[in-house]
Amino acid sequence: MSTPSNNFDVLVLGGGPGGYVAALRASQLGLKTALVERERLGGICLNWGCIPTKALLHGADLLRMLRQAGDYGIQVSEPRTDLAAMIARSRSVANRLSGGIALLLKKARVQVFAGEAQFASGAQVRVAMADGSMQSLQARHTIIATGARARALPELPFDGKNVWSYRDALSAQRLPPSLLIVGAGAIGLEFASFYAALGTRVTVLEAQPRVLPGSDADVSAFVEKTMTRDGVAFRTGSTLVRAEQTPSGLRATVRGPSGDEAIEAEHMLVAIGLVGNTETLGLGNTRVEADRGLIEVNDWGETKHPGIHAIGDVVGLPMLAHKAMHQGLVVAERIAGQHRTGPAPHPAIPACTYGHPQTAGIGMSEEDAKAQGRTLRVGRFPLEGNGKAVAVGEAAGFVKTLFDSGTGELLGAHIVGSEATEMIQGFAVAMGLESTEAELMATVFPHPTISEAMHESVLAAYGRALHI
Amino acid sequence: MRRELLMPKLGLTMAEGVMTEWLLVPGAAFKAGDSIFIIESEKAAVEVPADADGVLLEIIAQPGETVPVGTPIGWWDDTRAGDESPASSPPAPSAAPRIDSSPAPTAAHAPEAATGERVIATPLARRLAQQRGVDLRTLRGSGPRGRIRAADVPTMDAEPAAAASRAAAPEGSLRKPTAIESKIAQRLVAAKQQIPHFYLSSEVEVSALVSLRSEINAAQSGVRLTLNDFLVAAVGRALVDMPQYNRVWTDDGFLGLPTADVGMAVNTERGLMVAVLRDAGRLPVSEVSRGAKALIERARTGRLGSADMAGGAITVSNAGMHDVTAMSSIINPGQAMILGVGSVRDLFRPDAAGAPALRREITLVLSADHRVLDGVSAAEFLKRIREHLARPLGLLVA
Repeated sequence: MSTPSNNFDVLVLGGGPGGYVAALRASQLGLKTALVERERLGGICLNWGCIPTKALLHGADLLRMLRQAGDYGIQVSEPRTDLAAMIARSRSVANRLSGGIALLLKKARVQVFAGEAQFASGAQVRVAMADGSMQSLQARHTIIATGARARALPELPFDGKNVWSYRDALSAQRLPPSLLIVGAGAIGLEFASFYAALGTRVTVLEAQPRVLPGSDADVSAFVEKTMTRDGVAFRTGSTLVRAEQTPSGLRATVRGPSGDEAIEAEHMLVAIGLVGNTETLGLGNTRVEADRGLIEVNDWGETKHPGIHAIGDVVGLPMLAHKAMHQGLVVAERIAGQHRTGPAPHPAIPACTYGHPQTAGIGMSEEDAKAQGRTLRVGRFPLEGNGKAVAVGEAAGFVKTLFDSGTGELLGAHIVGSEATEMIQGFAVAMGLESTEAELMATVFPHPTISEAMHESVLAAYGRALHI
Repeated sequence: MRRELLMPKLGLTMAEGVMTEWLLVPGAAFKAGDSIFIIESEKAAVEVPADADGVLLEIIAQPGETVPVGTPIGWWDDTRAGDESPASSPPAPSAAPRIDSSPAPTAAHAPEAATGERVIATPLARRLAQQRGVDLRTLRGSGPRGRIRAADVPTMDAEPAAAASRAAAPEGSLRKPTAIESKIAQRLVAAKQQIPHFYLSSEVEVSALVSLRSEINAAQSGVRLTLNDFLVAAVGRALVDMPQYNRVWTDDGFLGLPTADVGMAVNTERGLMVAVLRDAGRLPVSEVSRGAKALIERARTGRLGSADMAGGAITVSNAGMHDVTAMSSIINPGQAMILGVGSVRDLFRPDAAGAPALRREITLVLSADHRVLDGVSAAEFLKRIREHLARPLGLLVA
């Protein structure tokens, strides 16, 4: 039964970063808002992605620091690790933050339905509630924010034992002696970094010729070199031919540039991409169009069905929480009557990885820019030339900037090394404000900080670097 | 006593304003209620009156400058004796023209950079304009608060503005228009010149509508539905039925609108304004009426927010109370259609047998943007509006 209390201005399907942010913003703008979540508030990001992996990776960083403590005149005995305790902390962080989202939504008077939503006939939203009941919800606007999940290899479905998804890698109770990771994107590399730091023998397989295929090639090369030195074995330009169970795990046959190779590992983590969560939504009862799990939307997040919008991973690349949040804000604001004129805001979306070394990039890679026929000025500044980086013993890495040589437009920026992920927003702000090299050069960066390397990189693009 | 003049806050969301024009020069005395300066927020130009007598001493914010709310824009003297040194006591926030003054927003949707104003543009846009020989003052900005972005700078040289031929000084008295009158004039000229208008007119039989309205108003004390409420509801329904016509022309292409919003032309002391009722097509007429009354009240008291004036593909302009048979209106810039509504008239029309029959009719004139609609689609849309008006019971429920 539909009751007046089940009548909303905005109904959000999915409580991940895109969904809950859209709901909070809609509510701020005075719209009566509800949100449906089938699992846990915060979505994959908060429960099984961004946040718990950062909790683990910080542990790996701490371990690395303890091992280098002698360099700083601090003698410590060889640290011992307890994976189960690290996992437990990571889970408690996720739980605490998920509870925080529930409070935020409550404070914003967003009504949360714990259950799974589906479009029934006539595009009517019905929710199979966690308590077994059914609810019909009415809304003038529906925002689909159901996210994505790990894509499995067709012949090797996730089994939670030998074939892992990121969820298994985030909840292991015992350190595997060996791990084969399929896919050298952000997820694959972060787990490679974590498990290798703890002592697992890690091999990473990547079909593309380089790791982090979406990044600038200089970044990929630097990361591959650093991680190889830290004990990770890479097989790029290589594909998995088959894998079979053995008493001790799996034996994989890998085909690379130099022929076939057998790799044995106790576990295999499959990180070959994500697939949108659309199949249980009942989209057939709407005019929403989806292609291979991804919902088609215009610049404003509008689907082909008037009043139904979609944001985040479920609308495609880049599948990043902050992109979903941005889209959530734009869609909520447009529903409330803002942004009625002019083009949809489309700021550059930064992309970060948090292994060792950290990487952060925004805008075009050098290859992309050249492919667009741009003539470039490229600045590159190594962290060896940065006083703060040397002082704290984090002098590995660089900042690379790309400018259009004709107009001085900042086309892209790429950072590798300590604090890369915290610094990239400086370039994001500059790009958003359409700064040219002149404004960046005229900006005073505080000394001593690693961020000075950003300034030097801009200067270097114009032959004016000072500390190199 | 010397007191600060602060940038007023004219709406809940207003964070800053652009100083458009000082109406007084330093040294000029003013009385409470006199307009001192004009500021422009995102959607509106507003004359700000003084709330006390005084003398303008000094101007801080120059025309074209963008100033955060609450920031000093000048100094004035309240002509009362007092401590001349402001150092000991910080200026009271009330030491400004009253901030709840009636704003008189123009129907502006896109901020324009008029000649002489400071141009707000990103560094990249400035450099591109310089490289391409484009005058930034001729451009419209698509960024926040009308900031000109790189994408707004055309790749070819901008067309030089046609030099207006100057006629000899005319006879009679000449009054300079106020900034608001100028702005409205510019926008009307631009709308009529740039939007290829065409017009369709149609008579609608409204006996059922008129008697339904009387019945409802008689049955429920306190409820007073107007014909305008039904018109807005009918137009909204037509948009919901035919979402393909709920779109407008923009420089970047056809912009489909997500909700069936309907604008209403509201006559106010400060001029004609368009207030937009959100999602009118999905509301029962009682809700339309409630929303419309609130908007009209806000428009008349000068409290329309910028969000209240933005968006919508169509406006209803009702001249029914002025004994007008038909009205062809100018499309509100940013929209695609406007529906001019005439008075209810009693007429004899031949019935099926050819005998005279009494009918009650109103004449609708739909002005449409030919870039967005052609004759057939506009006729189809107008027909759908008529159908909703001919069967008014359907408008009572959501």
